Amino acid sequence: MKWMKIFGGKWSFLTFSILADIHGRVFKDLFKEGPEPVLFTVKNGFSSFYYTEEGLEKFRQGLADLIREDSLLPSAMYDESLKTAEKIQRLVKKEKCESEDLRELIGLLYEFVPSYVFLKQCLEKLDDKKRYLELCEDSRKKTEMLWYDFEEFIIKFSKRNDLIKYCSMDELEIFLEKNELPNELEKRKKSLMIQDINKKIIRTGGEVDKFEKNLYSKLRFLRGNIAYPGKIKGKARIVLDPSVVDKFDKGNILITQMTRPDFLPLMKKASAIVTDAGGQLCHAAIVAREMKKCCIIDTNIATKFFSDGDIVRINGNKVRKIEAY
Amino acid sequence: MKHIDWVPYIERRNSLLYVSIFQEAYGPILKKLVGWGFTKQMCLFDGESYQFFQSKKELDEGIKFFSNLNKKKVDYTLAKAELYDKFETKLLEEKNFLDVDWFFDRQKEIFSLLTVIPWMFLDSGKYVNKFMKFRKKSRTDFQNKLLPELCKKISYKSGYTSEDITFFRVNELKEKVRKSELIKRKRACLIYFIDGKRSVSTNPDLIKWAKTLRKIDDKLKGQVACKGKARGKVCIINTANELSKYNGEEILVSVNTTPAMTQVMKKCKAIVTDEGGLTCHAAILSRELNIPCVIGTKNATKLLKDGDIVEVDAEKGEIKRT
Repeated sequence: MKWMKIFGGKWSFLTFSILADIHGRVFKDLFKEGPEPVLFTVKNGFSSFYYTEEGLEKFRQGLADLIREDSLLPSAMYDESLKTAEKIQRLVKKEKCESEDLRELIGLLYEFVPSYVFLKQCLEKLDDKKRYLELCEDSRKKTEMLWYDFEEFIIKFSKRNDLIKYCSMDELEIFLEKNELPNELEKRKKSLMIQDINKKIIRTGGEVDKFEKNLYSKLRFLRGNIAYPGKIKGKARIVLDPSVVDKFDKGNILITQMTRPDFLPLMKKASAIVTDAGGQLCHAAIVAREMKKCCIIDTNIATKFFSDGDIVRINGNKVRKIEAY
Repeated sequence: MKHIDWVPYIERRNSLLYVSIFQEAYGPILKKLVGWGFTKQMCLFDGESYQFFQSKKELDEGIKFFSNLNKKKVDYTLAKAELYDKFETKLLEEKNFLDVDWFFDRQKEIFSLLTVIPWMFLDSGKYVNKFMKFRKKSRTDFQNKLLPELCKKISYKSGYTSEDITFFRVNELKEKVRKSELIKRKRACLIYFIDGKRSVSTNPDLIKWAKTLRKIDDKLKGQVACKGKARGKVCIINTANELSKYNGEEILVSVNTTPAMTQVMKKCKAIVTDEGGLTCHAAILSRELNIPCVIGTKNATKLLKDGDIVEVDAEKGEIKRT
């Protein structure tokens, strides 16, 4: 199977296991076609979420078909995403986080994600994208920060027991009821999980490296999507967490999983931006267009393929390593 | 569907889920309990309220059936209704949601015994007193408290919002209805149960056709619940949320008054309702407060607008615009 990275960042195993359940199980019921199976990896505190190429294709096609059938669907979804997002934002503001709150929050997330992902993925296969572009962009601008609030809530809840972050969703349910955690959670700090319609598989340890290696072993250069075009040569800097970067020179090429608002200072200094995941509406693409900086998105594995200090050339939608560090 | 002789029946503001429970109660459950049930039912949702339709022929047939019921059968039904009346209180208190199917099955029987059957007896004019006590008890707890809670539980981790669940038919809860279909239903839909076939249609042509069936009579005439005469401005209030627009000294017009509106009813000059019989909430209250009251006008809320000056003649049961 050919896996494509859809998004990545500093998300916990728990958050991604909820997302995997929604993507892998629920979407098929709601939208006729889901992207299943889905996969995510967690390694050194960073995580990546993958669809298969066929899965993504049929999912996007299915959503576009639904819109062709009913042209008012996106605006209904837009209303719903804002309505549910508001409920979540109200809940995460609470100082205390009891088990009940977490349960309710997860329930709300299941209500929110379908409309959010719908607006994120529905445009690609449509002929009249422009008609809905503004709507989709607006929804993302208004709801994107919610993910950080949710993650913060989970971290706050994890103060009871640090390993909660590494639970899958069903294990969390057992924890809330009986206060028991499975033994192997310690190993999940480096793990991957595959979710299909009614089964999930969790692998730990070396499997993750093997999976990542398979993704790029035979490639000579990377191909991505152009968010803003340019022809640039520069030193690659791989930044996974912007808060711990000590030196970032002007003119370096910023390579990351996905940019977020806290990447802005680095994006200003960088001469070009290359990301693993994202689409026309992702943060990197929007900002790069505004800053008029060369930006290649959706390369899938840039952060793994290059290493810090490589000299890299960007030409068209290709990113090539010309001199190893 | 179009060849059936539909007549407008009642109008409600609740939910599709609730309507589908009602249709079960009118149909197969009623048949199981007394030996006769409606086989042709239709309900139009126009984005705001649910308009029920029944077949004229079948409605007459039902009234005839209920007026010919033998004494033994009536007593048996009455005993069962009394049992279920107690059972309902217990069900509401315990909130036993563990088995959703079981819960809904009981609720269908409760609806059938305590709402539909008294109604049928009222229409046929027999045994009214025996069954009316069940009708007087409000069933709003189920609709306002229990159903939302239940929907929240069903929607948990399913990807549907709890509002989505209220647009399922009760028999669809186990299946999956597409989100896009639910969104279409939220705009307008036709819920029907004809000859054993349960379905929800969002076909625009059918909905357009059903809308024409709600014929609106220009004459406003109803039953007198409390005699008197009054003249004043119209204020239409249908839900508790609209209570704030009432300024006092106006004529209250409503589809069906509820206990939440009591505060306003005390202050108004006259009361006009679309629905209801002599034992409905508006009728009882108006007699107590001695306020002129006309009930069962069928379409007062549609013909009158906020601010119209009207004359309510609760001697003849007429409302005139002046």
